[in-house]
Amino acid sequence: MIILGLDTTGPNCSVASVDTAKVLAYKSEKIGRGHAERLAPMVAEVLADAGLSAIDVDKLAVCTGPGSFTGLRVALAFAKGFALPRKLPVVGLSSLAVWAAQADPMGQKKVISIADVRRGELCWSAIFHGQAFEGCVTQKAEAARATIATLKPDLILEDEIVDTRKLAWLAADLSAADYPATPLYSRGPDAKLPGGLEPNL
Amino acid sequence: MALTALKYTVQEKALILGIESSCDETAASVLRRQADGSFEILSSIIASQDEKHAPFGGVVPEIAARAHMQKLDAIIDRAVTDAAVEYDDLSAIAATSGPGLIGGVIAGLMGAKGLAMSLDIPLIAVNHLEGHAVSPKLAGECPFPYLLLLISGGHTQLLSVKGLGDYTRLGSTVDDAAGEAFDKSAKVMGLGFPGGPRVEKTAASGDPSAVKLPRPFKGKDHADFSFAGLKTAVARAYEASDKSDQANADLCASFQQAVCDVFDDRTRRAMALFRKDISAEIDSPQRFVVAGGVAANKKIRSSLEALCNAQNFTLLAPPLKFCTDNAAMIALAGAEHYALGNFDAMDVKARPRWPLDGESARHNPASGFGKKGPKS
Repeated sequence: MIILGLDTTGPNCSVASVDTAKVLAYKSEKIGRGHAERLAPMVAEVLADAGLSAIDVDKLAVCTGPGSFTGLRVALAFAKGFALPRKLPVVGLSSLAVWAAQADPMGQKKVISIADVRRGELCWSAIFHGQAFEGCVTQKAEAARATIATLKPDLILEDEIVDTRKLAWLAADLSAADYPATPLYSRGPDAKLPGGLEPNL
Repeated sequence: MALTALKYTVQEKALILGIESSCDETAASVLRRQADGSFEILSSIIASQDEKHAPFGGVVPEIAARAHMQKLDAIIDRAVTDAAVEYDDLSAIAATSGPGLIGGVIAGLMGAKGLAMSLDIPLIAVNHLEGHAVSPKLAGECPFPYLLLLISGGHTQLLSVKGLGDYTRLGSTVDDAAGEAFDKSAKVMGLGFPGGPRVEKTAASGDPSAVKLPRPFKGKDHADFSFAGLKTAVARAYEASDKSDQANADLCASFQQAVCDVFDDRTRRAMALFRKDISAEIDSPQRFVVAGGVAANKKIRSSLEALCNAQNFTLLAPPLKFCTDNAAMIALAGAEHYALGNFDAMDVKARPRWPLDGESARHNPASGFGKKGPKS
């Protein structure tokens, strides 16, 4: 089974192609912006490096966020389009979950992953002993740190880089039904109702 | 595998999938092009987001982008299913790559890149405005050249359309689009969103001469538009009014009349510029096309009809489904580029601004990312 891993949620644009035994090809570039231009050529390069064609891909794994709203949609939209003709499964995992798996591959620790989502807010998730690939909360930094301290984690990860090789490998055993490629927005869209009221989105 | 745009060859008969996501409509369409250039729309699916934006009285970019992301693959799938074709039969993917709200454009364009790479077929990045420019052809025979008035929520411009990729912008708005003026006027009066139909309905029982409103740029020798001042004048007049049903009706009718007068004056000017642009005789018969959501307004339509009669122009208005944002027009523009072998590379950019004239119709670096020009 060939799995294509994609991440455009952070400063890096990254693509990996793996099979269940090994990494076939991998690229990660710190570009800051321009993911929408770089991603598709990078996928082509990674497929070519691995000696693969698009038709060989069996599954996609995409990082769903948190991150720049526009950025995270780049890989998600590409993956959805890529998957459409052959109805390939697209597995979505949060960067928080992938970081935890990167730092604690055997799932032996109490890990907290924290993403700085700006405006003084943190989006964080508790991944204890490899459990909880889902669920995260966005809070003011102070409140978040206070809660996190009470959980007595073994390891705190902050603003790491997603390794798409890891992402693709994790997705090998996961189903798209359980881990859908749904964007993980750390907050609602910026919009005020007439009169400056907060919408209930 | 080499994934360059150069490796593809043009087939005489082609099936083009068009994708549109530049504002608040998620749309996909499949078009069949024959060797002789004739074509047939096999499907045209449009999912409007009006309900999502209605509470805000206007299109909210991030809400629009999220909705596009959510619906894109299902809409594309429906377009292919409704066309009764297989993905493998597609010859190329054409997607709007600007101008428009960038979050939505990126979602649609990235979906298109994924599809094109997956199917190993060419990608064609289409200028949304070029889609509107060729849209009259969707409704039937409409030979070049023609004068196009594009009036929508995001765009207001007068174009001399001489051929595919051969456009001269005769005038455009220096601030707001016409549709925006309708939406904002409806918003201050609390009429709801989208504003166009609401203002038109409210205006029906009003007196178009009741409220004195400006006619921006009327009489100027260029063909540009400005609606910001008119919008503000409506807001002031509303504040000063007794806000009764009759006062609202009068204000809507007066606003609509002001817009009609502006279109009449600016288009009259553009008609002269158009004849000059195509080197036609001063009273020669010509074609005039009005497109965009605002063209649905009956008062505006009849006012433009009268103008055309007086100026020896034939008025052509595509049916509303091709007039407002749709993907059939993107597929059509894409099909024309396909026939010419105009394919785009996988690194093609999404452009918030992309003026449609002369050499800048495609790949003009001057209108690239982040450079603020006039609203195109």
